[in-house]
Amino acid sequence: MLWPGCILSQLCQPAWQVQTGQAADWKRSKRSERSFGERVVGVPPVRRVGVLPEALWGVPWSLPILLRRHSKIKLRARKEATDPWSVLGLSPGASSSEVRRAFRARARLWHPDRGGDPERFQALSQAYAHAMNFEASTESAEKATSSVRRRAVEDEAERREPTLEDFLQWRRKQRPSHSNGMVQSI
Amino acid sequence: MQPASEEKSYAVGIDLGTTYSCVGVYKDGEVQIIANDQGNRTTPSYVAWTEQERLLGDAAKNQVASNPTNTVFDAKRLIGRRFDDPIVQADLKLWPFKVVSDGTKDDKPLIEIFYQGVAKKFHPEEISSMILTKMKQTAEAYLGHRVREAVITVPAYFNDAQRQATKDAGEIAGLRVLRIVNEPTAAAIAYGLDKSTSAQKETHILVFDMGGGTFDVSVLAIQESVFEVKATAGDPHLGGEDFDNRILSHCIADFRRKYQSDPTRNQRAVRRLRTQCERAKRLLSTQTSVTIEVDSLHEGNDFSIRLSRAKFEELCLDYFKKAMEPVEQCLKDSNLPQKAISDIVMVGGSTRIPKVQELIKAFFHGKELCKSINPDEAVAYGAAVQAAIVSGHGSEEVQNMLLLDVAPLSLGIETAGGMMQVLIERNSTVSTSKSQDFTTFEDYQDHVDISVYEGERAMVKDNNFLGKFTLKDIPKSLRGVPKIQVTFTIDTNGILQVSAEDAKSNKKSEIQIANEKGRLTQNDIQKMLQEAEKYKGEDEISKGDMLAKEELKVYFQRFDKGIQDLDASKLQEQDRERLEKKLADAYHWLEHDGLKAGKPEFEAKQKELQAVMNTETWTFAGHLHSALYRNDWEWRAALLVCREF
Repeated sequence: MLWPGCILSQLCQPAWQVQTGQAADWKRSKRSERSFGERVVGVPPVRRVGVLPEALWGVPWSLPILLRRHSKIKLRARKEATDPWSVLGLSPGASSSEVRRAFRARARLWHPDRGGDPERFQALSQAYAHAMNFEASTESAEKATSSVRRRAVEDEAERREPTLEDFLQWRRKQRPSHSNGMVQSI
Repeated sequence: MQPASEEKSYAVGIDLGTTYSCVGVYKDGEVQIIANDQGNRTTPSYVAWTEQERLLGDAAKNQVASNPTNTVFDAKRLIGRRFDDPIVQADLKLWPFKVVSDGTKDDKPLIEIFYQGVAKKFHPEEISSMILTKMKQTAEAYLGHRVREAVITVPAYFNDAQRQATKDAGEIAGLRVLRIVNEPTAAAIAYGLDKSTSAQKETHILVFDMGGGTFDVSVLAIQESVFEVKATAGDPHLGGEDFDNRILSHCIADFRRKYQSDPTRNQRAVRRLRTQCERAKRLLSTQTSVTIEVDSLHEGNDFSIRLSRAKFEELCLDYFKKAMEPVEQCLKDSNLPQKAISDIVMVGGSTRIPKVQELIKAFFHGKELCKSINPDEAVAYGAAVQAAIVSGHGSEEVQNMLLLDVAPLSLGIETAGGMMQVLIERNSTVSTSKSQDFTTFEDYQDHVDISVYEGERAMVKDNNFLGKFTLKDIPKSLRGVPKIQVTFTIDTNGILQVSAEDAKSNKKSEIQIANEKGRLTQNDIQKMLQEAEKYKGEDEISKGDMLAKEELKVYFQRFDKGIQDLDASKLQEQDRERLEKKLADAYHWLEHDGLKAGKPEFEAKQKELQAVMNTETWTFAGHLHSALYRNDWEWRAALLVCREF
């Protein structure tokens, strides 16, 4: 890798200088002498190149790596900004009281009244709404599945002939509760 | 930390009520409710125009019986509504002043009054701004500083247009509206300052706010000085005035039966009766029966009726029952059982009615109600605290408080088939934003109309239309292919902004909703602001005119007296006659031309008289002067009287 300061770039550096007029010195010098500094080239005062161009040598090589890293950071940031759980600093499925507590603690810091960024607070309240909805839906689902009566109703439904109402019910169940997944037309 | 500018500025909290308004300020670590020039801590939300001048507050309410058509009240029931709104149409029949439509597409209501022989039309925002100006002046008189910023409260159940219109009213009054706060939330702050709220434990309170014209219920969770509104519900048109109307119609029916004549067309009679009904209602909160008496109400007939508390309760029972529905709704929305509510805070004058207290007590299985805060002032109190929080003037305890309010109604757009697609659900914490993707309905559709609605019903036709905008130049493709992201953003004032963006072409279009419907444009506001300034000037001018006129009259008396007092020996007969003629002329001028004259004319006349006096009695100047100023104290008293005037 041609990172400024690494061995390879140090080797490359004199070679590039040699081509600009000091081939003889280069040929005569021993390999062990071929290193950075005035020692290498000896006689005429060497036109040493500044630090910046040397560093630039490394850029084309490291650019893709840097970019990738950057995009990774951005992606993570975006994920953190959109994922309600990471906005709240909780793991998915935290209890509703935890969600409330986390929301209030963050609201103290981020609310516009406290000099916070309005957009950041908006993201927070959005996350809060999402997390609370999630809580509500899982709680109700748990309740529903655990209830004996619900099961009895389902058994009943299995025994008799399916009707249009059943189909519609099934169809409704296929659809997510908050219709985020489905794109509606205007 | 001291602010950079030397001039101290205060932010006040104003409770802009339907019938009464109240102003408070956070000063020296506590909230002070400011009394007006009459010494009352609440000011009637009345504006009146008499022959000479405009009256505000108490002065306007006191003369309502003699000047019913030019006395405007209940502007809050008109603000942000359309003229064809059924609520407005129902109220029209009860108001003695005239309300007309502005005739445009928006169908805004205008209040028409007669002032100095000319019909004038005002937007409800302007009337509200006049009341706000009055409150501002009250605060300025108390503080001795200019007041430029304010937090104004609105009922929690006010919709987007009504909030926006209230904000505009503030701007017309020359106030920078820091925040529009919900009334029950403001009341909760007042409660919170009273109790210690910094406890770790979460407590829930219910605020029951029944005022003169509106009714709200909110459930709040309080934990470590954070006030989070969990749910809110209410009725934007239910309050003390409705009870007054019930008593009034009961009385009118009784009058009709007794005398076979109908007083409803007699505005003055109705107004006098209404004032008595309001008084009776107030008295019935403390005593069990009351007599309503009006002498010579209509066609010379005296009216008297005995009203018992039981009868009053019977008359208004459906209203009281109706008030319990939002309480139930609110508890349901906040997912809390009745026993989770640790305190029930009663706010607003109408919560003094025993039956209301009894019903809500019964609803909460006999739980004691919290009456430690003043029901009339709590809202202004909370608004003042919020003003201190937002402007950063409060103490540490106050700065530590945080208010998280909610949007009272669901907000969404119309999708294919007239369905309502909700983006922001009701009781979402503000401020918040939500995006959702939509697509086209037809092949090669190149634009979409986005209609924004608020309300809880499934079909948009049952909900309240807020505004509409179009996203144009979508790249043409098959239906369902384009991706249009619609974003709703609701700010801390509860005011909505909607934008739509096509993902492919990055075309964007947006509206601030209330800009669309019924809202005054920035130009309108500027115009009204100027008009309000002019009015203020006019008030002062007419006051100045009257002062000058009175001063001239007093000068006449002095002049006359001076002539009389002069010794006959020292004043020749012809001079005396000339002076007397001059005086008579001046009297004549005052009687005839003086009606139209202004301050400069009066002053000129006085100068003229002075000049005459000086030249005519040049030789006797000394005598005259002593004669004129002999009764110096009398002169001063006279001047004082006219200043007072």
